[in-house]
Amino acid sequence: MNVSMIEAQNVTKHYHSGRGQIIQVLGGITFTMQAGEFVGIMGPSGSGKTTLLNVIATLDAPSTGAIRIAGTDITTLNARQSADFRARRLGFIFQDYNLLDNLTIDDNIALPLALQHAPAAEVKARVARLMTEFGIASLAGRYPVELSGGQKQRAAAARAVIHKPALLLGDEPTGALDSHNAAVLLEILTHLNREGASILMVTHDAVTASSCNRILYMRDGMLSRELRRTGTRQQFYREILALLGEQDMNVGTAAALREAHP
Amino acid sequence: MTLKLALSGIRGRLRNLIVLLAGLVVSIAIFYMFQTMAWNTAFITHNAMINSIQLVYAMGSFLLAAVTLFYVIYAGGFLFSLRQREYGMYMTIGARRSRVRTVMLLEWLVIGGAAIVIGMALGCGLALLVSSLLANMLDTTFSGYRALYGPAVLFTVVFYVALLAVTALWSQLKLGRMRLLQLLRAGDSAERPARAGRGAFWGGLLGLGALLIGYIALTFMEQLREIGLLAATVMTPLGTYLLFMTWLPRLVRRAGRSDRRLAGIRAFTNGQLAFRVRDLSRMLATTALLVALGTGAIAGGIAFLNDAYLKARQSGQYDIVLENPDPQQLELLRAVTFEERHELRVKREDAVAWVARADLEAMLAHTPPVLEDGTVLEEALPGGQQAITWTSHPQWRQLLSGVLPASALGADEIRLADNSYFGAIGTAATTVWFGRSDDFLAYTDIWGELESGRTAYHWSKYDQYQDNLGLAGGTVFMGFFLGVAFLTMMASCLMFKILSGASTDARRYALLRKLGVRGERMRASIRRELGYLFLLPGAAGLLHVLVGMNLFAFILQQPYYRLWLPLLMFAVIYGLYYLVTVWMYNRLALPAPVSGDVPHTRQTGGGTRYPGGSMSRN
Ligand SMILES: Nc1ncnc2c1ncn2[C@@H]1O[C@H](COP(=O)(O)OP(=O)(O)O)[C@@H](O)[C@H]1O
Ligand SMILES: [Mg+2]
Repeated sequence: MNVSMIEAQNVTKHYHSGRGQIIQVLGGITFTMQAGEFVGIMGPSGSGKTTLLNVIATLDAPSTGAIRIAGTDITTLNARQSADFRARRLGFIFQDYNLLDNLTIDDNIALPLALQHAPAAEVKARVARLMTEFGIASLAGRYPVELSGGQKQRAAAARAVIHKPALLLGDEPTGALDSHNAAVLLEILTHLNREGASILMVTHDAVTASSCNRILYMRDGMLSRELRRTGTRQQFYREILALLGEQDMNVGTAAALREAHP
Repeated sequence: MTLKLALSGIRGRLRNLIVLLAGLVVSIAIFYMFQTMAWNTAFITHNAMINSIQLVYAMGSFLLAAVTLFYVIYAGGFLFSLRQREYGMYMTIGARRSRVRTVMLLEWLVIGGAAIVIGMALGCGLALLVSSLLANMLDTTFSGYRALYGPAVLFTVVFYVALLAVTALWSQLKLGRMRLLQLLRAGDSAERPARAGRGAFWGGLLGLGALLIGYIALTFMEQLREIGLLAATVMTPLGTYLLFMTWLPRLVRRAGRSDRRLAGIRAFTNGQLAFRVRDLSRMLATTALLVALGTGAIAGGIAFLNDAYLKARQSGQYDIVLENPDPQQLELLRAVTFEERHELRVKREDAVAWVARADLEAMLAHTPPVLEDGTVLEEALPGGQQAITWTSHPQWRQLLSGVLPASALGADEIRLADNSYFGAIGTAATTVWFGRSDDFLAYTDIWGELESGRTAYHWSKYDQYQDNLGLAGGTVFMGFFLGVAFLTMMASCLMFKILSGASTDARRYALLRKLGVRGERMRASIRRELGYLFLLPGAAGLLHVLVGMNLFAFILQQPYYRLWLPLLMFAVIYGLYYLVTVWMYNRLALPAPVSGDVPHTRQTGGGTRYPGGSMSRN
């Protein structure tokens, strides 16, 4: 079945600089993501990846354009509705974990469900199951400061999925992890995806990106390339490397040209 | 360039700095008001109802200075917490540490200087206003009190300049010791809430014991005397500190855990609260103690005033005694409801004052008269024309001495005359008009007017009342200043201490927003969290006051009389501080309303004001 998870139509975002100039960050982005897909967004720093993710996450409003997520037009939601939408339908994993240091790991993981007033027994059971599944069961009752980066990120992943969101969003979730912990997290994400979760994540790392089914490449606020995985992960990894090399070359050439003909 | 950085920093955070400035201004004004009295020893000793009032003021000055020191340090800490990241930024772009220090110092100087100038002006104005208002209310003048008082001005300015310098030095040291990374990551706490050990249990038990001893000492002060005073002043604070530092954090944590309604934002609020109470425990205990002192001072003053009223109510003296009242006076008397009223005719003949027997019999026919000491006259009226002498008829003598006219003064004897005899005496009769109203205090204006032109030859009930009121007024005035000074300083301390944690919390609330928590629920969580932080020391302080008012039992008839009035004043002052703190906290900690609120608009100005406001910080 082909159900759209995200439908973005000509999404733009601009900021007004202090001097009255307009800075165009997203220059008209159109793409569709099907339910059950695992999509990666790549692109050079400053190309607008985080901005796009924030707009999709209803944390920021687009300047023009339309976005539907799981059938909901998110551009017409007011503050309350978008908060509720985030609480029920979205899950987040951040680069810097973003766990609450004043709550234990279990309480952190339970938070999204607790916020929806789920019955305490059900919350407890789900927290315990997820912690076992993600290999952090032994850490129950500990506070975030007592955990390693990898453990924190696994807890954050558990928190992101405990309320069974329609869409899981990540902004460089492996960015702060060493290769081993990154691999563990990717395994978890892949596993979640196989069980039906739709995942959209920003990454600049080719290894991380190779676990996706599709890569959207951004440049200067536009989608410039798209790459679909057809073969094995190894093959996909090489394709991504090739894409990155090609894009680097382009950037390099553009810069060289600009220098030659100012 | 440095000045420009400092000024731009001030402009950027203008609203928060205004609150800081306002806090400093209020603190200076109050400190000054207190000093106008503390340095005016002539005024204090003249108006005091307590012998050791000088000691009270010396202690008060010391305490207030200590609280003010903490206050200014907390205020400085608040400013520092607002600016840490910015300082870190300046340094990452290559500004030298010394330059950042100068920026910080300049900023503090600008704020401190402005606060001293405005604060002193406000202090003089307030002192003038409060003293004249109170004088008006109490119907007296505070002779010797001066709102603009040289020594007080000097001391306040010197004290604050020194304090601001110390605070500046302190944050300079703090900045010097902090590494760049610490500045940039301001507030990323690396502590985990400590688990209370076995020691905490025993510590709390010890605290409870100390508090009980303190309370017992306060209650039985009259019997225990000096030992009681010592025990109360040492044990009560000791117990409070121990309990707040050991049992309170445990209690809050346990209450949070056992909260069956872990659903919703409560889980978060409880976590916050447990974190906070532990961090602030000493601060909260200090608040409790000073709340008790401040409210106690106001309550003590008011209790003295009430004592003046009570004494007037209970006095057996006739409310009004008039000689040959003129028609104008009689007209005034119509407005009064009398429970009893009498006329007594008296004639003076040589060494004898003759009193009409019929008038005295009429008096007895009503109800036996009450004597000045409150007892009821039991003596029979002497028969015939017997003299009423001091030795043979002390009660009658006492009764009559309060109502005899001036013409009878100096008579060797008072004799009773029946109507025919009285009529035959050749001298002019004086009629004394006297009575007891249904409520002396309700007609004080009328008494004052009736007695205004009188040449005093005996001490009337109204005179006595005025005298008591004057004395109590001085005490009320002092208690009020002392109490308000403690309360506002303490509440400001608590406010800034709480607020300096707000920028750390900003990241937590930013995360909650991402997780889809509505703004109003975050605001409710903040209201609840801060509500407890204000309520806990407030309640403990009030308990201290309730027990502590026993202290006055040996000078006052009813120390608890009208206690609601000072309690109400406390509640209003404290409540206002709570509201201001919540408002400030919301502004500092909550994410700015997002552009997502209004879709498809250009409302996305330059840069997010709040760290962590967007998805990640790259
Ligand atoms: N609030 C803002 N105001 C002005 N410009 C912004 C704002 N947020 C982001 N930008 C600009 O938008 C561009 C894209 O930023 P971002 O989406 O964070 O890039 P990426 O995540 O791809 O590195 C950057 O050039 C950045 O300077
Ligand atoms: Mg980014």
